[in-house]
Amino acid sequence: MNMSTGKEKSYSKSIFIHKTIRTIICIILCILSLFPFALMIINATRDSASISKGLSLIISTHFMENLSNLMKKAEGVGTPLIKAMINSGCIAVPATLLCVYFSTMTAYGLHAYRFKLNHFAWSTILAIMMIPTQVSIIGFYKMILMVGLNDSYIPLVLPAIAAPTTVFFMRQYMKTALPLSIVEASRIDGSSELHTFNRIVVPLMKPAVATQAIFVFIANWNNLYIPSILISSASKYTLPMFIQVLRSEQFRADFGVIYMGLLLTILPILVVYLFLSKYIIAGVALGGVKE
Amino acid sequence: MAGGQQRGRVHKKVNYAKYGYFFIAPFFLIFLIFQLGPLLYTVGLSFFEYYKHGFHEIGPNFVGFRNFTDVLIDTSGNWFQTDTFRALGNTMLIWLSNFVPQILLSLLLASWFTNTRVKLRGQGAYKVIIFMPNIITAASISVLFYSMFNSAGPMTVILRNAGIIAKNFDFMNDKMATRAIISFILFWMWYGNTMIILIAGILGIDPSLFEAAQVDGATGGQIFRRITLPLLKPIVLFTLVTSAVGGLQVYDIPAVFNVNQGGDGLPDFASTTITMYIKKLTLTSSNYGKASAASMMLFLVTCIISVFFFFVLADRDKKPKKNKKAKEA
Amino acid sequence: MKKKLLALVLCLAMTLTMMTGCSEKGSEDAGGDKAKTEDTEKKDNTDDTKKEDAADPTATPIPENKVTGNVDAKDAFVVYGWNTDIQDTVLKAFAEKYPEDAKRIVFVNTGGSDFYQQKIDPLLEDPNNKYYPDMYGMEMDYIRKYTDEDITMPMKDLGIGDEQLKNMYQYTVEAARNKKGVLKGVSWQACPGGLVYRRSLAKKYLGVSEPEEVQKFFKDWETTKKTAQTIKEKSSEKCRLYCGYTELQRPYQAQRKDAWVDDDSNLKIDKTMQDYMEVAKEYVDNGFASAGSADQQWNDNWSATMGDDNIFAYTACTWFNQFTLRENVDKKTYGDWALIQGPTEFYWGGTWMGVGSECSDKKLAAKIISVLCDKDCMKSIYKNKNDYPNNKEAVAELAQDEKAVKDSDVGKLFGGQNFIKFFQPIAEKITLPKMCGEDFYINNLYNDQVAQYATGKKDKDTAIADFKAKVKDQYDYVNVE
Repeated sequence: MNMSTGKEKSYSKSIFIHKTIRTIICIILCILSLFPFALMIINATRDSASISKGLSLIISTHFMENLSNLMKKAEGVGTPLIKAMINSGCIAVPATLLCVYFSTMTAYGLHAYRFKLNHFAWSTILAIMMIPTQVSIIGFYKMILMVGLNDSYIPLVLPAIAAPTTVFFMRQYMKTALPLSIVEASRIDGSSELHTFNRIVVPLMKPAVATQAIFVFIANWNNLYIPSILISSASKYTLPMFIQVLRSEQFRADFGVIYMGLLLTILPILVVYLFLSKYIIAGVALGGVKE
Repeated sequence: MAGGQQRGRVHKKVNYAKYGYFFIAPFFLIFLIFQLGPLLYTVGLSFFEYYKHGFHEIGPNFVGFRNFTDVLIDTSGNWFQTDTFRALGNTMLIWLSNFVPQILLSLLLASWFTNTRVKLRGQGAYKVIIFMPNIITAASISVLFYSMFNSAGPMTVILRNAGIIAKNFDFMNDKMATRAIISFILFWMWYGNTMIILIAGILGIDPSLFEAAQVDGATGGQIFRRITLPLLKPIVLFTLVTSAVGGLQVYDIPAVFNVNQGGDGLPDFASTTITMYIKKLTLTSSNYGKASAASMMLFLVTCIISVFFFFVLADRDKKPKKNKKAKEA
Repeated sequence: MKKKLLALVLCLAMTLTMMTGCSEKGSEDAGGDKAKTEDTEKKDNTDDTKKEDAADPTATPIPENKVTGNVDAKDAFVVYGWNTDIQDTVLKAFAEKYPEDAKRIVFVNTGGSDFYQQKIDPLLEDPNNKYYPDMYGMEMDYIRKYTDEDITMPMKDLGIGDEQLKNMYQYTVEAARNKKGVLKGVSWQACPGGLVYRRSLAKKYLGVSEPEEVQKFFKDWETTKKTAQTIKEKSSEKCRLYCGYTELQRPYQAQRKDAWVDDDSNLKIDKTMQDYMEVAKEYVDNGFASAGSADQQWNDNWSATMGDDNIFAYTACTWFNQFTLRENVDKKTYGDWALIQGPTEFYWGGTWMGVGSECSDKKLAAKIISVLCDKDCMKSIYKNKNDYPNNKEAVAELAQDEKAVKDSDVGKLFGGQNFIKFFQPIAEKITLPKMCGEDFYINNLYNDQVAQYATGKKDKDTAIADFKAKVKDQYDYVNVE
């Protein structure tokens, strides 16, 4: 008896020690994650001279000044910051809509119909997932030049229709969430196949669609590689391209303005994340579980 | 891998089969135009001499494997000593040095967060905060780290004053230091993501296995080694492959971090990744044939690494590893 | 559990409210640009971008939406540049003379020379694109790439001949001639170089502060090194002559006999470039210049150091004074700067306007170019930006007016020194080295290796060998022996 209580005590004690150590490590990691953001916010409120003198953890008073300077300089380089955000939105929103709609459609086609090439099509999609998209960039670039679509958003938006990872995810989700009996029932009611898909399947897939929409949107919003190859006019720069411009000579001297620019570039995504973090994290977890 | 055969109800769908083609048509149409077409075109171009001298296009002239020998063998005849392979080497180095610690830390955290004996409080908040860097525009993070670690940056100054680095040490002029910071940014951005995937994997393991092990008096470490890790294999494989495919294509962080006006990763090419290099060959040198051959190298290396992982980690003991997701409950 | 998240949300909410709360104050500031019609001199005294303001849309009929929006107009005329310089000089002068025509101009700024060529090259080969560059800026480092090709229109097709060019500095005309001798560009600026130093620091460490006296300390390269040593010792290593070793590049490079690539596509490493490599290392080793990457020209810390008391001098030139120095100095150092020639005569860069061969409106292009040949317009360029105009008559008249020069913005920066007069003889004497279209990118490759050598990471032979390999890799058609 005595022994066991002693054991229990030491046992709960060891649990407590473990807990404390783990909590401390987790808190350190959280600080590590937040520190750069804090630094951005603080430095966005300081003037260039004091930033170059060193770190500070105290918010200063130059916020508005940095903001108006940034707006002016950004206008000077032909890419007002707001415009860059709108540009990124103009790519990300249609790309997201096309991507989730057509991926759901493709997944549905593979899931609900048994046709001869079904298995082959599915294997192809799995294989495409493994091919780095950047491999074909030269062919892509030359083809876009040939048809004169460089410096336009079409080649940035349309390819979103063929997104193998999203199709993969949708199909995994359909297996559990879309009983085919529902589809058959609507057929008996005489609804056409496309109508069934739009009216019945898509609403049923809402949770998966929402999760994927967030991911596709973020990926397109943050995309730099292909836009930086195809887009030439500063007025069409996307947000990540604008950040590249922040490193150019017009901005280099004014650190306060640079940090302000960085802060404003991450702000929209940060706000979206804070509101949707639950779904985003659930979505990551879902995407990783393969059968 | 799923074959997608639904048992039963076959007879009903025969007359509808053609609709399947209709539904997958848009995907494959766009895939043909924007992915397969360019890919085949790239493969084709890699056998041609095709470049620009100023504004004069030379070619395309068929040259067989010359572009491949150009990217494989340097002028003095050494294999793999070319800039293409230097860029590939940089990429692999940056990827490996961020991925190994990333997977280890993610595993550790995942095992903590799923531990039923030592229940941590505030897990939700930890997850949200640790995952946050993953969704932030990478280019912004890159500029931020450059501002902190350049030769006059605040972090550099602090480290100098603390005597951790030499007085004239310059991260941006040191090959390893530049790569290390890029690796750190990638690590910092991605370990939260990997952790969440692994947590999902661990939660998918049948809890009765853990209970049985605990009854048998296994320690936490033993349970982790003997039960969790083997059953996590498919998930780990998934993260390995996706990370390799993504890691070999890494572009936006190094491309805005420490570069010269020509877009080369400094110092002395050390932070040029293969995608940056391909972009340079395409846009600056306008050497389409060579750029295509370099792309093929990237393709090959990606395939080799993926296949390697499949062989090393594929379950040989054919255990049924269906994740009984708690959907029925 | 939710506490941390709450804290995060609060933190952000605070930032947001700060924004919205203060933005009412700021909106007058920012929005004022569009409406106000006076120069915004009465701004925050810490406002670094006042000069950019001076060039704000108020005074120019080029409102910012022209830059972006009007390209769809039938008669849009698209002009390309990599920063605001062309806008503030050429287009502004043009708008003053032809306000109606100026409304048609769409200025596209690609933001940084880094990707400028990559951006305009595909468009130049695509005349049907509405963004086709009707006119574009070309820097000295790559002008030959464009003038040697048919994509750039010869100036004589626009009716620009010797008569219009008679007042221009000879070297600026030579620079825009291609290998066949056809003139394909016109520049509004001449770019003689010099050295700007801080008077107060000169007084402190050298005992003299006036340009004539200080020049004696910098009369040639050997003396300059001695002076650098003096500054280092007298300031007990607090102050150094140059910010970074790249300050030495342009004075050396301007003395080249050979371009990087000759007409038969052979790589040439001119002796002066090798000397630059050596001298860069020497300056770093002796502590006369920093090897830190951020301290090199155009990098983050370089512009931030202008006006702190640790840097004695910068390599300068006409546009540097108005475009870079003036934008970055601490306001309290106004009047503390002065210009001298330094150890060598040289020129630094320059921008030429080229016209696309498929230009949509030759008449308008000719009009813009004619502005660059017009004495009064060139004077107005000087008045707007204090740039040094490429017109000998205009310069002669401007230099006469001592008071106006003293009271001009750059004049105030130099404590009343007549910088126009100072540059006159140097500009006359500039002779051009050979140039090639690849200079820009090859300079980059070379500087990477200079950095390796100067910081002691490589010996010279390895650095040169690696440089050759890099050039070969980038330009397959170049023979590197």
